[in-house]
Amino acid sequence: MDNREEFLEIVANYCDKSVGELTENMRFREDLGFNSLSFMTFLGDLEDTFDIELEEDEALKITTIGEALDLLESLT
Amino acid sequence: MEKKLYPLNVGQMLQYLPIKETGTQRCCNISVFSGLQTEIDFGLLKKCIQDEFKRYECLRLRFTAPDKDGNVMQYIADSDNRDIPYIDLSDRSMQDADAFLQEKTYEEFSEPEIPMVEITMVRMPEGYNGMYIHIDHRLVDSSGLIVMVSDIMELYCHYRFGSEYPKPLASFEEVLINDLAKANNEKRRAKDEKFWHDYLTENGEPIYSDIKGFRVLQESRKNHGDKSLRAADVETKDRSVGVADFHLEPEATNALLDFCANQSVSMTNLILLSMRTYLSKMNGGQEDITLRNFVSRRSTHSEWTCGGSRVLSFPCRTIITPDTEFLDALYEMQDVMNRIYLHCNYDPVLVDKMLKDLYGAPDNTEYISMSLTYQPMPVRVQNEHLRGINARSFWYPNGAATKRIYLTVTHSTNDGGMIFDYHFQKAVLSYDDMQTLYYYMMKMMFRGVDEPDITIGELITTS
Repeated sequence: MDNREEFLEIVANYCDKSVGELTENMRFREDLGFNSLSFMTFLGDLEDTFDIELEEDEALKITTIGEALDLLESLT
Repeated sequence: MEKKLYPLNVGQMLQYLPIKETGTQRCCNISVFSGLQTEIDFGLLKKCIQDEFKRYECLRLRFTAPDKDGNVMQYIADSDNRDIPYIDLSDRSMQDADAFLQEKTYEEFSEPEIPMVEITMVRMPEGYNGMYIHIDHRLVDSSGLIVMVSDIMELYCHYRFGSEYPKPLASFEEVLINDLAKANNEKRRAKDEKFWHDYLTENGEPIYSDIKGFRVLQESRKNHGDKSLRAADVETKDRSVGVADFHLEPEATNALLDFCANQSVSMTNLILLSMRTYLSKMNGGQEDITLRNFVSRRSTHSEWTCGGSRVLSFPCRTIITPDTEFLDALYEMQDVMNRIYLHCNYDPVLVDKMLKDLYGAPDNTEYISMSLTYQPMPVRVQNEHLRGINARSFWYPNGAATKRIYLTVTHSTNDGGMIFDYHFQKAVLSYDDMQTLYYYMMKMMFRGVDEPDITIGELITTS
C-alpha cells in the first residue's frame, strides 16, 4: 500500500465514506464531519503512521484532503 | 478456556482511580432511565436487551480482584444469558418512581469477576416505558451508553416494524488492543510528555479560583500555614452530591449553535469561556484560570461503537487579559484546546502527577474548582418508526461527588434545547450557588454572542 492509499484508509476510518468515495477537494469539517477532537486525533495518527512531525500551526491550516496529501508528500 | 486478561485503558483507569481513593465502587456507577411515552412490547424488549449482551462486548466485561498495589485487570466473559427483570412503577408519581430508581443507583458492584451491569425493564408513570440501566463507568461512558440504548431500540424496531437490522458494533477487545499498543508507542509518549511538560511549565504554577471567591484559597493558605499556596483543599470527608438542572430553551440553544457554526468555534469552548469568565469575575478579575475539560475520545467508527470508557480529562488553562475581545478570547480558548487534543492520548493521571511533581502542592489540594463535559449527541432513538414519540432519559446521580462542581451539558431529547446539569459537593456548595453560576454563565455567553467585540473586562464589570 502506498502512502496515498494508506492516508485515505485512515481518513475513511474517521468518516462515513469509503476510500473510493473520497476526493481531494473534500473538506474535513464541512464535508466529512470532523470536529476539533477528531481532526487533532487524525493528525496524531498521521504522525504515528508515517513517522513525521507536523508543525501544529501549519497542520491546523489544512482544510481539504488535497492539502493534507500535499503536506504529507512534502514531509515523507 | 483460559481468560485473556488486559489492563485497563487510560479512560477506564481514570474511572477506577476514585474507587481506589474512596474505597467505594459507587462513585464509578452510571444509572439512567431511558424510555418512550408509548406502549412497549416488553417481551420483545427483553429479547433485544439479551441480544445486546451478545452484540456489545463491553457489557460482558469483568474485573479481577485488586492486586497488592490495588490494580485490576479485565476480561470479556464469553456469554451472559441472564434474564431481564421487569418492574411496574406506573401507579406511582414520577417523583416516587425516580426516588425508587435513585435508591437502586446506590447499589454497588463490589465483588471481583461479576457482571458489572444491571438492566431492568420499567413501566414508569405518565405512560413512559423503557429500561433502567445501572452500570459501572468502566464499561461505558455516556456516549457508549447512548450507542447502546440506540442499538437496543434499533433491534426493537427491526423485530417490531421490520426496519433494517442494525450494523454490527465494533469489538471492544480489538479497540482495547489498539489503545494499549498506542499507549506503549515510545515515540508518541515522549512527544506527549514533552508537550505536557511545556504546557504545565510555560506559565508557572497555576492558581486556584472558586465561585465563592478568593476566600476559599485564603482559607487553605491559613490551614497549611503557607501564604503563597496556589492550590486549595479538596473536600474529602463528605462527598455527598447535590444536583441542579437548568433547561435552556430551543431558540436560545439555536442562537448559540448558529454563533458557533458561523465563527467556527465549538460549543465546548463557548461554555468553557463562560465558566472561566465567571470565575474571573468572582476572583477580582483573575486572568489566570484553569478548568478541567472531560472529552470522550471517540473519533473513528470503531471508537464510536466499541463501548468502554474513553473519557479523559485534562487541565485547560488560559490567561486572558481584560482588554481581550470576547471572540478573540474564544479563539484563544480554542487554540489551547486544539493543542491539548493533539496530545490527549497521554494518560491524564500522569499529567496530574507531573503537575504535583513540578510544584509540590500538598496532598488533597487542587488548582481546579470546575469541570465540564459537553455531550453533543442526544439520547434519542433515530428510527423513523419512533420519531415524534416523547422520550425521557433521566440520569440518576451516584451519590458521590469527586469534583467540587461537575457540569454536564447535553441536548434535550424532546425539544432540541440544552440541559445544564450541575453536580456539586453539598458540603461546600448549595443549589443557590449553582443557580447563580448558571445565571451568570448564560448572561455572559449571550452578551458575548450578541457583542463579540466586547472585552472580557467589560463583560466582567457589567454582568
